[in-house]
Amino acid sequence: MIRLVIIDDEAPARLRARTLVAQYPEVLQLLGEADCARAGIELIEALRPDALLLDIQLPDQSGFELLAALSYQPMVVFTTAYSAYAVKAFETFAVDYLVKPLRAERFQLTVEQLQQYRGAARTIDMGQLQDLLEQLRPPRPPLALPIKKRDRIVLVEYGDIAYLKAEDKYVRVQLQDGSSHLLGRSLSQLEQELPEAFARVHRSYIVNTALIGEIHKYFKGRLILQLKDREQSSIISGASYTAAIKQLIGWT
Amino acid sequence: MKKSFLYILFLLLFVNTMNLWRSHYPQASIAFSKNGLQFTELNKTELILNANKNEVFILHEQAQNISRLYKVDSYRSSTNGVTILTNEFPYNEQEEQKLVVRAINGQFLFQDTLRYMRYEDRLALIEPAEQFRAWRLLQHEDQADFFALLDQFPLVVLPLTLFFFFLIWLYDSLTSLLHPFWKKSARHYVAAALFLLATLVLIKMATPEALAASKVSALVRILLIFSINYGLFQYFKNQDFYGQEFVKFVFFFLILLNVTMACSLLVNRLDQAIFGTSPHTMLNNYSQTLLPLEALHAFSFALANLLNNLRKHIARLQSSEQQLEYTQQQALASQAELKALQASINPHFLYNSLNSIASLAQAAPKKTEQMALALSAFYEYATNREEQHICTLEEELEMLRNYLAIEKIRFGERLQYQFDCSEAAKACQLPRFLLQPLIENAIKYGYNPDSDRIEVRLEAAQKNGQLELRVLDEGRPFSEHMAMGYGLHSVQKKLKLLFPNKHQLEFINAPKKQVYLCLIA
Repeated sequence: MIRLVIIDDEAPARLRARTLVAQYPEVLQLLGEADCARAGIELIEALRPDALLLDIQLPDQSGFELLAALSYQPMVVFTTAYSAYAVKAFETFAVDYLVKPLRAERFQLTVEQLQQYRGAARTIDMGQLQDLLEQLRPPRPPLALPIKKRDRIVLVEYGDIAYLKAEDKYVRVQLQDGSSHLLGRSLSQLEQELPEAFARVHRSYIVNTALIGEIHKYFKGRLILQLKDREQSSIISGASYTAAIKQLIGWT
Repeated sequence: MKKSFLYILFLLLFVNTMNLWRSHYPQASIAFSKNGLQFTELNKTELILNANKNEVFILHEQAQNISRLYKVDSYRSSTNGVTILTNEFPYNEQEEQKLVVRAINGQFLFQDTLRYMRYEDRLALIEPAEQFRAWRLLQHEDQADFFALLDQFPLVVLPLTLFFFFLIWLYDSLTSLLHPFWKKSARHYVAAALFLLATLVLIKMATPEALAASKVSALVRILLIFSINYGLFQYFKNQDFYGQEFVKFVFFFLILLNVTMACSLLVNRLDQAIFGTSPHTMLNNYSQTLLPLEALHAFSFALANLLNNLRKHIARLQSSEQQLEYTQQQALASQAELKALQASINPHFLYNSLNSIASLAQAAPKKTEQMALALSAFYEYATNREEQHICTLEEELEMLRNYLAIEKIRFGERLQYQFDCSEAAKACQLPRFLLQPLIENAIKYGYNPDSDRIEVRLEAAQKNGQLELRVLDEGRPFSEHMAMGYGLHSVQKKLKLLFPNKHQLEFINAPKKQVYLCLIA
């Protein structure tokens, strides 16, 4: 008999899992259910089940964090809404993985797997698993820059930014429409974060290259970048950045 | 700014050149003889010449303090000046005496002289005096021809205006071309340098006689005009005094004229005070000599300025036409974008909902039915058959109720929501489907582990034509490094397209965590 706990934050999903588990009364014994990681840990530590039907996305913590917090290593069957392709990677870490909605035929395989692995639970390298999960998340192109103003945050779309200018300890974020925001961060820090369209053109300037209308030569190998924003800003590049700018726009 | 410099340059080149030239004419040495006798250095001489009748009247003060009026039959020009052959005096002794006395005391001008003459004689004098001036200018043909032309033909306004116009145009395009290279201060320096150069050229051009008498006064005049005009120009510019082109034109003309006149007269007085120059110079006959000339220049310049503004206005109109075309294209693009945005419901939502329905189907048919109906109603609204982009808050709330009904089946009692909207707010309009992503985010990030609840609250109030919406939850505060997901992105896009510059979207952590959205109707 494999003693089992279901952890899932969605009631219908729990219901579905419960229904499936009930179809194998001679193999599986359902000890309890939990709808968040905290309740789940309490339940598991109290009942010490052999296996978990564990949802990866829980409201308070992830399923991985729940596993890491346990004092022992039960068998784990992940249930997730991730695509089947992405979840394949979990194979090495868990007894099985199930993509929602759980299907009866597929669940039979899971039951067989559980019986097979019984007493030989795999040790799971949580760190590795976490990294894997990060990789699996499709990298979202950043869309906006959060700007904190006292207790509130405004999101400024990257496309709306004309240029960023270092001012003392702050960075002035100049928008296309002529308005600007002050940001308490460093330009170098931002340079790492900003999307590819942004290029450092001066020690104290980062420019949205999508807005460059014209480029003129200036003294000492520097360039004048004429932006197409409302103010028609023109920014003089630093000499050391000239080569990079030229490369960026394919000017040889 | 630039126009003021340009104006000053022209003022220098034309008006002051004129003044310099003119002021030296009466002081040029004129030799004349009576019956062959030669006289020179007529410092205090008023010439009233009648070229038409070949008569010239001369009021002459000699070294011995003897002055007389002569009638001159003929004159001859030479390199030294004009040699005039005089004859008898046509007036009675008594009248002549009066004129002589006043002339010596330096009290009267050209007009005064005329006042002591008989009416017919006055008439006879006015016209010939003008004609003499023309004749005199012809003597200096190469230099003076242009000015003679100015005096004689008011039609010259046209070429002069065109000349000014093209120069202003040239200057305009040059400065806009050089714009990125020039700082404002640099323009100041260049203008100042040009100004100095023009001054030097003017001094160089003036004849030695003129220089000897009025080098300083010329400089003073130039500087005076420079500063006063510049100040006035800046003042009116800053006051935004002339918005209308016509008003601009009139004021430009009047300012130019008045200031030039004032400067000329003032400097003339200075001339007199400092150098003891006689007031009976041609310059003193201001109304008859310089005034029309300066008026002409001022008029031309103002007209040229008007033309240039007109040119710019036309160029602006053309570009605004292009702008309009561009905006229309943008509007079309916006329509397409809006269409695309309409359907931008998080696909996970449908997937999750269907999963839930599948999960519930066997065990809980009642709930399954509820959920399927809510989902159907939600998508009915989302499909947006009429392609409306704006709807009332009331409609949005209906949609949100369907949406939340679905989510509530998924999350059970954990999810609590509340709408707190005033009736006035419910009638307000807002972009369709704007609130759903905000509510979705609130559910996603609104879990509070202490209460084990996801509490979502929507507040809407209408204040002074503004619709204020707040979506509150009890989850962790917004991070300083929060990312914008596609949901929020679609919200911001819709706001930008449908409420351009009339919305405000903020993420507030204190005193309560909330998304604050303000729409200005």
